[in-house]
Amino acid sequence: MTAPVNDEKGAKLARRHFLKGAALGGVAVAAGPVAAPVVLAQNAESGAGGRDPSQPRPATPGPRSEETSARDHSVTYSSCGGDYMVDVLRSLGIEYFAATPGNTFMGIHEAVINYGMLTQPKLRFITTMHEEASVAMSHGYAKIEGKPMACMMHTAVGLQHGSMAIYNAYADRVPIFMMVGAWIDATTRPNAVDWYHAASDGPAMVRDFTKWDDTPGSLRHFSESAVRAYRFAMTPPYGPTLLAVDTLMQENEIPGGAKAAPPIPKLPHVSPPAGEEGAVREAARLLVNAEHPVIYADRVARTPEGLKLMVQLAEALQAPVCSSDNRMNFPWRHPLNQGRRLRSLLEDTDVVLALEPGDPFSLFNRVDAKGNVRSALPAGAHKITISSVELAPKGNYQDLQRLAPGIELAMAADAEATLPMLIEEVRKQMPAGRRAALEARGKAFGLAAREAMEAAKETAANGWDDSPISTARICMEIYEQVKSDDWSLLSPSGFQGNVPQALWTADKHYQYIGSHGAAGIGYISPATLGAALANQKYGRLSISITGDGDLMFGPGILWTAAHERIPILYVVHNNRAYHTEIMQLQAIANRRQRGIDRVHIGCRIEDPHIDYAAMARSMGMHGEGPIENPRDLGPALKRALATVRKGEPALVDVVSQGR
Amino acid sequence: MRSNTTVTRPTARVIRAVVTLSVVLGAGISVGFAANPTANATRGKQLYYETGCYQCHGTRGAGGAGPRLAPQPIPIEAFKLQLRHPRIRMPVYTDVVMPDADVADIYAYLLTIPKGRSAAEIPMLKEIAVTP
Repeated sequence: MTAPVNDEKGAKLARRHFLKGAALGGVAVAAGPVAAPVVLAQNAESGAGGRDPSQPRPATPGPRSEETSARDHSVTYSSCGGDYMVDVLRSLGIEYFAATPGNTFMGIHEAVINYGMLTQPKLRFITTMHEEASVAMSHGYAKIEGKPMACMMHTAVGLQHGSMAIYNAYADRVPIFMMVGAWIDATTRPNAVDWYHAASDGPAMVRDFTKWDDTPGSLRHFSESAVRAYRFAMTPPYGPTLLAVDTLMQENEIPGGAKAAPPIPKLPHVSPPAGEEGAVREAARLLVNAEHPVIYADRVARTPEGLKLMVQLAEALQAPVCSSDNRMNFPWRHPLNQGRRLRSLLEDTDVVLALEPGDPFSLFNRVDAKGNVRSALPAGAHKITISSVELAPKGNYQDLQRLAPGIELAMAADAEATLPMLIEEVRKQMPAGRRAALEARGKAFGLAAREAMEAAKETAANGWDDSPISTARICMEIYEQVKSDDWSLLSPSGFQGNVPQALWTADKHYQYIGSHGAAGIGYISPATLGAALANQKYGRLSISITGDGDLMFGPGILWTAAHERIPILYVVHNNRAYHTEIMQLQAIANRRQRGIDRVHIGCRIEDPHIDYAAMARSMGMHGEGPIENPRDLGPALKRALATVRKGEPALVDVVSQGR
Repeated sequence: MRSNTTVTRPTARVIRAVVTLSVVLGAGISVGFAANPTANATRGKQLYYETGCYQCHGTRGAGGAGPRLAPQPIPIEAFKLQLRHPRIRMPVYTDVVMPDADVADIYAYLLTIPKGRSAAEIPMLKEIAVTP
């Protein structure tokens, strides 16, 4: 165990000395609770008239118990399992620990705040107001930082709260280091609440959508499983892992004292699985010989390097890239970025390379209104997939989507790790005589990209001066204010018509981090704050356009933003509704020919309207709005951004069109 | 519960022809195309909200989740055809839930929506460099 260095100025009493001092005073402290009944008994017996009726009846001594208390407060110690666990987290490079407090993990909680936060390398406690927020913050953090942060919950009542956010992270292939406090020895649980908070196999409830879990039985077991959990989380496909950590093991002394603490296994460099050489060579052959190759990228770029590799592959082939909304896979203004033309490009393609496709069936097929399926590709077109998800499939939850038929080459491998080999093979196989043809192909895509951008500008102009304010106007007003900053758009832009992808310029991996994962609402507000936490140390300007419905799943996240002083600009896309559901309900009501005059019931968020700016201010944040006049939006954003640039969060509530 | 009405579906070829025609005409000469002089635009505006058009198409037809409807809406025949037999994902509006008179009124409202500023007239959009 690394010797901690206490660098907290003014901390005159080192923790170890404090504990030692507490141990000396332990007898006196311990005398309190057990002495009281004795005093009462003495009073009762000493009175002339017998027992004083104003005093509680003295406890009648019962038969002596053979059992010991779970928490014997008379015992103090100078080492504890919680401190050891903090050292394990630090050995993994974990910098943040998010939690809503709970009594099953006070042993770690206390160790983080009194040991982890005061000694180097520091571990920062992030206070949340809901377990779903803890997990979702960790989700967003990992997508920026490329590594997990830790979060902790109760086994029963906490893990159930956090489960939706875990499923989002799992479906989004994002690593999170999760722990739950587990009071394993039932005979030591002090009261009924501790029983309600316990489960025999708590991780079972989320096992279908975590990569791995374990319940360590000793500190040595804990450190080994922690390293394993981290490795599994960080091996593609990334995913959340979970340790159920015994409450008393956190709280109690390290068996044999600090000097007897088990060694912490060293975290190795985790090498992601790349595609098999022969398969990569064949994929390159098909791509090099294609007349109309198309590259489709979903959850590909895990790291900044992934974005660079995608550019290298596209340029080597002069092939168009269509990226999903899930990652920053390709620079938005690169001439080969043909994101809006996927459908038409597929109609003419002869080879499609689909990288980490989340839904290959929908990519390769079209389903009409009657449910008829037809191929989206011409007959004979080759389909290649590279997908790490195929290395670690699970049943039950249906995140794998429908099986896509007709794929002739399916590489079970991490796409980003396979790209260097594929690029090299493409360059090797590309005949020198094709250079002119490739240049012509690239120029044509450049022209198409210009035309698409001109069209996008005209689309954005539609309804520019309308109130409620158009989503395009919101996006462009934000961009106008931040385009010279080192900005990072942390929210998915599908709810705003993907205007940023069409009109903003972005070429860095942190400028966009994609979407929910499993489309579970309640992700945006906390996940973007977690991402902003990761951006904080780099001085980036974090932006989150969050839905009103999403924010109301967990508005306490605003307090966390203010309390932890995490700079972020929240812009509430306030369409005063669960809008997607309104559209779906309209369709059903009309099919039944009952009209849609009642579909607002259950979907509209009005009567009364929510004042999000006031809500933000009530939690200590700068709040602006509701902004209804588009002319007021720019100045409101400017004021809010002035606060964010000073290192504080701010919120602007914009009354907006539905989409 | 209202009674069901049998909806007769036109052939795909007819739909394609009408929609193609409407796209061509919608480029610029559709204003006034088959506009019903008896239609009530004021009532149409109210219906546009009450029947939920604005949810997908914006409060003034500028588009959003659904395509732009105004200004210069597609010809009323194509507009009505899309309502009765949607080709793209949108609720079907039979004459039970939206009689022809309502369709005409909504269409009349769409015709009243003036053309907004173009991208070239909006500095924030105009100044965005078209790259590459």
